[in-house]
Amino acid sequence: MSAENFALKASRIFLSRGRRRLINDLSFWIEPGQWLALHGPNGSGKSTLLRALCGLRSFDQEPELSFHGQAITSLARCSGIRLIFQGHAQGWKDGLSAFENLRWQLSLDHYGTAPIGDHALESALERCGIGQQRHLPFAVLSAGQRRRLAMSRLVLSLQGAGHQQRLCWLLDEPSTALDDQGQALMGSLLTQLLQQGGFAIIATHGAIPNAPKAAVLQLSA
Amino acid sequence: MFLASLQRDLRLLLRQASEAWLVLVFFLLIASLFPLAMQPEPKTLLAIGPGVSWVSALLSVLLSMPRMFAADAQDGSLEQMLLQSEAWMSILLGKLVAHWLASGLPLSLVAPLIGLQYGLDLNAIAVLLAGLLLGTPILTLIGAIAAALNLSARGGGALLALLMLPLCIPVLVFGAGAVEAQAAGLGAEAHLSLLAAGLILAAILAPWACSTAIRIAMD
Amino acid sequence: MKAIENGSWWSHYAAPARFYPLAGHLVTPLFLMAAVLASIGLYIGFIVAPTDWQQGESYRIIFIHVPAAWMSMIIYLAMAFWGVLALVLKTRLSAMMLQALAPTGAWMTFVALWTGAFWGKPTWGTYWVWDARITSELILLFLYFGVIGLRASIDDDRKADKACALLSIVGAVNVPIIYFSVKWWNTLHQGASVSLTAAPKMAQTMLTAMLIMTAAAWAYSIAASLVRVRSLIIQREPRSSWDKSLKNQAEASSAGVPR
Repeated sequence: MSAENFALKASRIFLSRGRRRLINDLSFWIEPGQWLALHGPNGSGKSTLLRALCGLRSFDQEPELSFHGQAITSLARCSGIRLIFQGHAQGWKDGLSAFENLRWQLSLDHYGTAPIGDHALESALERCGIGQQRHLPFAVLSAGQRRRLAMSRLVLSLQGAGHQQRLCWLLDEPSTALDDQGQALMGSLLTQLLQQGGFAIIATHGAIPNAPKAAVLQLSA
Repeated sequence: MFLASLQRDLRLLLRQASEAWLVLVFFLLIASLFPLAMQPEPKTLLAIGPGVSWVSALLSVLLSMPRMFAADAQDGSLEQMLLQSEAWMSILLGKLVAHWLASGLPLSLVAPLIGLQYGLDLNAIAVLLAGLLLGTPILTLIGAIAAALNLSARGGGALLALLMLPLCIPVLVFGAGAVEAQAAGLGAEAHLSLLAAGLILAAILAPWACSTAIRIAMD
Repeated sequence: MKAIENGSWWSHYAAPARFYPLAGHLVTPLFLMAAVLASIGLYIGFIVAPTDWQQGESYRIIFIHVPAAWMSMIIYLAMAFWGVLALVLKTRLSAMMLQALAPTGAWMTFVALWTGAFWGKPTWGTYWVWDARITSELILLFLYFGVIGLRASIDDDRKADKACALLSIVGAVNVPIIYFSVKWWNTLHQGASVSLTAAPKMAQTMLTAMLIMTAAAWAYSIAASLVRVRSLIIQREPRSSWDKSLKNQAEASSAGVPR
C-alpha cells in the first residue's frame, strides 16, 4: 500500500523520559476510516507518545511522519490537520464557568475559521448532558461533568470542520470518570468523526463501547 | 486572539482579585518597613525615598510573577495555547499585558503615596510615577522570561528571584536615578528616555525568549 | 552520518564519545602551561615589577584581579556562545560545555571580587567599594549562580540543557546593558570612590606580567572546563561510547608501563 493511502504513517519513533527509553523504533500506521487505540500499562509512554505526536514534546530523533503521503514534523504544525488534543490535564480553568471555558477553548480550536455561535455551544452542552451546569463556577463540577465538557468540545469540532482540513483527535484516556451513557456518547462521536474522514489516536485502558473497530497499538512497560 | 487572551486573564484575575490586592498591600508594607528599621529623619527619608520605592516595586512585581504561567501550566491550558501555533504569540502578548495591568500599573499609581510618606515633592513624585509607568512593563517582561524558565524547575520562588532580579538592575538604576537627577536639578529626561528605549527593546526581545522558555518547559 | 567536508574535523569531534579522548589529551598540557605561565607571571608581577609610587606594594594584587575579571567576562560570553549552539544545532556537547564552564566562570568572578577586596583595604581603607567594575562583577556572579541554580533545579538533562542555554543567552544580552547602567550609576555618584580601573600607568614589566597571567588564566580555565566536560560525558553518555577509551587507559596502566 503506498503512503498516500494511509491517513497517518509513522516510523522510527524513539522516545525517552529522562534517562529511560520508553519507545524504541516504533512504527505504526492508520488507514483511512480507522482509529488507533493505544493500550499499555501505566508508565509505558502512552501520554508521552501523544504529546510528542502533537508537537508539544520532542522525539529523541527525527521520526518519519507522513499524513496522506505528505511528510510532516508534527500534527499541530500540519496545515492539513485540525488537531484536537486532550491530555490528562484537560485545560479547563476553575475560575471560569463551563460556558466560558468552552468559549475560550473553541476560540483556540476554531482559530481562522468562522466563530461558533452561542446557540451551537449551548446545544452541544445540552447534548453532552451539562446544559444545566453551564454557567456554574467550574470548580463545583464533578470529574464526570468535566469530561462531558471535554466531549462537547469534540462535538463542536465535528460541526466546525473546514473542508481543507481533516479533523484529528488525540485523546488521553477520555473515558475516565464517564458513566455508561457518557461512554456510549463517546463511541457515537467517534463513529461520526470517522465518517467525516477524520482520524483519532486514543490512549485508553479499556474498550470504548459503541465505537467502530480500532487498530490497536500495544505499548509494553 | 490578543484581546480574547487579555480578556480571559483579566476576568480570571477579577474573580481572584485578592491576588492583585495582596501585591499592592505588599508594596506598601515593604516601603513602610524601611523607616521603621532606621531613624525616620526627613533628610534621610528624602534621600532613600526613590530607591526604596523602586526596590519595593521590584519585589512586589517579583511576588506577582509565579501566577503568570504556573496555574496555566498545571491545569493544561498553557499547552492548549501552545498547540495553537498561529495565534500563540498574540495569546502570550495578551497574557503579558494583562499581567502588567494587574500588577505594574496599580503599583505605579499607588507609588505617589509612598512618595508622600518619604517627603518627596510633587515634581519628584511625578518623575517617580513616570519612571514606574515605563519601568514596570519592563519588569513584567523580564519577569515573564524568568517565570517561564522557572516552570521547568522544581522548588519555590527563590530561584525565580535569582533569575529575575539581576536582570532588572538596569531598570532600578535608571528609574531611581531619574528621581535623584530631578532632585539634583539635572532633569530626568535622559533617564526616562533610557527607560523608554529599554521598554522598546524588551518588548521586542522578551516575548520571543519567553515563548522559547515555555516550549522548553512543556517539552 | 556523512561529515560535511569543510567542517569535517568539527563535526567529527562534536560527538561526545570522540571528544572525550581528545579532551583527555589536552588537559595535562594545559594545566602545565597554566602552572608555568602563572609562575612566570607572578614572579614578574610580584618581584620584578617596580613598586608603584602611588600605591606601594599592595597594587600587585591586580596581577591576579584583572586577569580573573577578564576571564569571568570571557567565560560568560563563551557560555552564551555554546548556548546558542546548543539551542540552534541541538548538539549535546555544546550544552555540556556550557554546563562545564559555569563553575569555572563563577570561581573567576569570585576571585576577582576577593582580590578586589584585598586591594581596596590597604588602598582606600575599606574592603568593599561600590565602583562600576566591582559592582558589575558582583552582578555577574549572581548571573552565574542563576545558571548553576537553574541547572541544579531541573532533573531532566535535555530540558536543563535548553533552559540553561536560553538563560545564558538572555544573560549575555543583558551584560552590556547592566555594565552600562552600573557605570552610569557610578559616574553620577562621583564622590563615592575612585575606580579600580584607573590603574597606575603601566610600566612595561607590569603589562607583560598582566598578559602572562591572563594567558595562564585562559589555559587554566580551558583545562578545568575540559576536566568537567569529561566527567559530564561519563555521567550522561551511554557506556559504550567512552567505555572503550577508559578500558584502553586501564589496560595500559595495568600492563605495568613504567611512568
